[in-house]
Amino acid sequence: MVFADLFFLYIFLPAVLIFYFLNKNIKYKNAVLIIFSLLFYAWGEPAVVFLLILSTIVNWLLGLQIDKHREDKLGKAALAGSLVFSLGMLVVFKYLGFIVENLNLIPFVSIPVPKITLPIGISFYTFQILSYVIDCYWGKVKVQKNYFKFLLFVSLFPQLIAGPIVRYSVVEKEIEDRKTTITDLADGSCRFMIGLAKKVILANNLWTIVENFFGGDISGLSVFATWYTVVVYAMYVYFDFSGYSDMAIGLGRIFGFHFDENFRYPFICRNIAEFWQRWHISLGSFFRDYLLYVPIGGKIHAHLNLFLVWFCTGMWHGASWNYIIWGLYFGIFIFIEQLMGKKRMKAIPAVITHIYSKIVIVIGFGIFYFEDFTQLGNFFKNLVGLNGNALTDTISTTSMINNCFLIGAAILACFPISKLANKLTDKSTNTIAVGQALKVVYCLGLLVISSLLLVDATSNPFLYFRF
Amino acid sequence: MDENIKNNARRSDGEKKRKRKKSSVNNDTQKRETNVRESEAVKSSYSEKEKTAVFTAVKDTPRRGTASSTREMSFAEKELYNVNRQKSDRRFWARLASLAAIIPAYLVLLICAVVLPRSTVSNIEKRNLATMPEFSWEDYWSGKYTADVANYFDDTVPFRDSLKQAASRFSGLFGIKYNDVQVSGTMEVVNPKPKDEDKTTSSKTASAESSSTGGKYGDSIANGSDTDKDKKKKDSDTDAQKQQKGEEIAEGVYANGVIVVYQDGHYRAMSMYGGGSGDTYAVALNNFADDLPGVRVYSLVAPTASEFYTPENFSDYNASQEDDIIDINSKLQNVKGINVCQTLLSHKKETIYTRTDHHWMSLGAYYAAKEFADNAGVSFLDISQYTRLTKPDYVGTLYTFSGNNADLLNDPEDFIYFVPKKQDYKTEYYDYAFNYVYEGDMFADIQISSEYYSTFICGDAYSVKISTNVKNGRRCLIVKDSYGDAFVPFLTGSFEEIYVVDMRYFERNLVDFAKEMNITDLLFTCCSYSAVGTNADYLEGLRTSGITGGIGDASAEHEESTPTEESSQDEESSEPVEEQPTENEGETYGENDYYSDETGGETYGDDAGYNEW
Repeated sequence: MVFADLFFLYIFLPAVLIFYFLNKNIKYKNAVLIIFSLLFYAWGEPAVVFLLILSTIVNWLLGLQIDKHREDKLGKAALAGSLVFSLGMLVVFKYLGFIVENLNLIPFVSIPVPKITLPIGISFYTFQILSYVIDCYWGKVKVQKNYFKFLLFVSLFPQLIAGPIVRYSVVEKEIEDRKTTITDLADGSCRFMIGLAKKVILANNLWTIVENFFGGDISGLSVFATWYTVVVYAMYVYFDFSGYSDMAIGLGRIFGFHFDENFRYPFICRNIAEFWQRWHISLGSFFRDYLLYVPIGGKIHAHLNLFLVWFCTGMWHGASWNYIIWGLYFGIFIFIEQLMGKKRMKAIPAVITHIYSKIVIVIGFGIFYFEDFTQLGNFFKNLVGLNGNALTDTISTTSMINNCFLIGAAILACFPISKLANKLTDKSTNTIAVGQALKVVYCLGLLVISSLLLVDATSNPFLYFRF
Repeated sequence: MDENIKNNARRSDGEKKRKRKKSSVNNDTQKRETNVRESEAVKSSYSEKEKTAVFTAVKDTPRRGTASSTREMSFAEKELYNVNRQKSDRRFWARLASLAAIIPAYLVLLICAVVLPRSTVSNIEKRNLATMPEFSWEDYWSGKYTADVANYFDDTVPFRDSLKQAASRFSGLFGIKYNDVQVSGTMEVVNPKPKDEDKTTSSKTASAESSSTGGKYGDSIANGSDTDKDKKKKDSDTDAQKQQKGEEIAEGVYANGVIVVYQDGHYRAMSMYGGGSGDTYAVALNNFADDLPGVRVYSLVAPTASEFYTPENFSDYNASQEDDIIDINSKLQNVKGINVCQTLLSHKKETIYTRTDHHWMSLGAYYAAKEFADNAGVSFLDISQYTRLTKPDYVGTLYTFSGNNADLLNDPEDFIYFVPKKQDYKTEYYDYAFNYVYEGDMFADIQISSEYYSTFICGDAYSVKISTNVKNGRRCLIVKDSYGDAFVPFLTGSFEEIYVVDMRYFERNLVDFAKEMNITDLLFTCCSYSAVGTNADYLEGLRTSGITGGIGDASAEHEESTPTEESSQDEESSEPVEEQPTENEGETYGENDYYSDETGGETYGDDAGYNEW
């Protein structure tokens, strides 16, 4: 099931809300959440839900062992077992086909490529489990003795299938006990509606444009069309994914959970390192905490570690070389930025750093989009006009004018305007109510429009489903 | 209690944290006399999160700060404290008030979406909406059941049509309509350099798949017969491809984009033409001519609307169809190539093409048929021998192809067709294997306005035999795509017998069939897309494979078919076509049958759409 769907909005969600708020008992509330979360997952993956349950059982048991044998080798063995199990699942269900395909490139090797469908959200929940097990081993969190509470942490439906990757430490206390305050309820629902609008109004319609130009063979595209489309695509990915995160965070608040932010206006960054501090924060911080600072190659190989992180970041996004290149591409820029040092980076005029970072990011999304290398090659050629194609063409300019307000709205939404508005109205006591009233009217408007567009939905793909 | 206050203060962050801590420390040390009520007030104002758990919160009305609690603070601190507390109060009340708006608003939407009676038919999309699926464990484990339930709910939203129209109006606000042209779909510059067709198709399918969540059209309509037909198509496709797949196929490239143009006071949608070689088509026709000595073979490739109505600035995206037709005709040996482009161009101002559908109008087919009759040297009934009929409010397939363009929907056209005044002919309908089905009217009374084009010989659902009063010894076999349908009624005064078979679906061996029927004139007619595209691949298959056997009615037919073809025969018999009672005369087309037959494939998927040309 996806959030941006009438069935979720008007059947599933009201059902959960009604049951959830029927009783104040936390055990009851947790039970409701677990049942509905499993239903939510099983709705799209009726069989694979057992994989999720198996994964939680195994890791919960191993977590207990880690805690019990903290001092002796068994603890380490349990940790290793858990890591092997989780990563093994990921490799089998996500990367096996890819690995075999690449092995087949070696002469005389021909293994039949297994056709395994990727269980929805496996990348997200596996990483959540990993964070728990490792934190548990490091003693950062207390072991969860109650299986169902652990299951709740992993399967909690707001973040289950498309993130953010919620750490156990973040919700540790709230799993035990939590309350939904009026503020949580009001802000959470507004947050959800904004996320929904990002997905349905902006992302879906931006996607139509992307499909029009990048949907087929791109070798004939003009320079302008290529740039135009890749910029639109970058915004599409942002709104699609951050919209989902917003909905997850909003839903979480409605149920009394406070997840960390996953996006903080990434496109206003000044350099690539900053971009990744603002983009998919839960993934970046995961790799930072569990991979970058773990001295795998020893301190001397810190640089190597950096590239390992970016290799993994790329790989996480999909079982295809272009994602790995995409990750390493960012790794290279971050490496260069590190070599330059913060001071020297700061000395560069803001205009230049902004232009530099936007171009790098946008081209990065081109790499992200094209899994096919011929297409990717054409994309690069098109960017600089090496294909001998026209500089501009009627179709792309027409498309831009046909969609100018949509694109304008999308660009505006990349800036922290709502934050600014919030700050402004929050300054004085008298404007708080006005600000809130405007926000509510705005959000409800978005909800109505989103629902309307969902009735008309022709394409509604959640990009991050694949991860 | 004081502990509590400190805790609360600790929870807040940033600058406020420091300020608040200060004030709570003040409270801590100085106001020993603080009573329960006051501290409650402070607490609730500082941390409504803690205190005001949902649905119990309302009872705990936060109170405004009183002077007593802040007595000992400095003036500035007091100010700040008061302001902060007031703000927190305000924030809380504002949120409560907004919930008072959000919850009822959501309930209203909920009632609209869930309680109101569900839609069952869409008049805009001319189809029955999805129905609640029946439960089976098999469907459940495959995920089909749950997907269908959700699809049922999404598809049958109350007031669906009005909401859809409102949505497409909203989408109209995304930008400015510049030069009165709107673009949808992928469009490629038509350039002569060869491209790899396989790549294009694969990326197209990929995009079609990615939008499959929204592909409700296909999902809800798809049923057994449709998939059967698809399978069948694929089978014959591979047959044809086995012999044909070579370097030639790699050349046809479609620009599958649709543009909507405002011209002469009306909106007109057109698919851009991507061009292609038509070698497959020409080779197949030449082979037919070789196999059928003594039969006059003709080719009439019909141009589509984009040839005549594409605006100047879009000409880069639209290849010249006449060039391709001339090219095809030059490759034909012993086949008479007929080029109707100039004739149609001279009638451009008349309604020779539909504005909202990818077909031509009856009148366009008339001019083409006349050209054909001249070439064949047969008599031809003038248009004055026909009654002109119109059906209003026609919005054809391009509405869907253009991504539900609202302008197109709001600017319907008249569907105009011509019926012979003297109905001295007999129309018999056969299935694709030429088993007799029924005798009926040449013009079906189609009720679904988007499907009016299927008025002619019931669309592509049947093979047709027309017996006329003409006595000239000429028997014509027309091998056509849907463009040929409109063509047929104008030949009732030209041939003794006319056989019409569809190039994509016909199952018999065409050479044997032509010989068996003593065909004297064999006409291949289709639109340019079919001639340069994959539809042409079917032709070689019709010549070399297919059922070989005699004509007969349904009873005899099964006996004669070879055992190997038995399976395809069975498939055929499961087609809803055969369920038509013969006395039905094809007048009242069962709606469901109709959808599954015709519109099933014509969904958003670009590829699917083109197969139906």
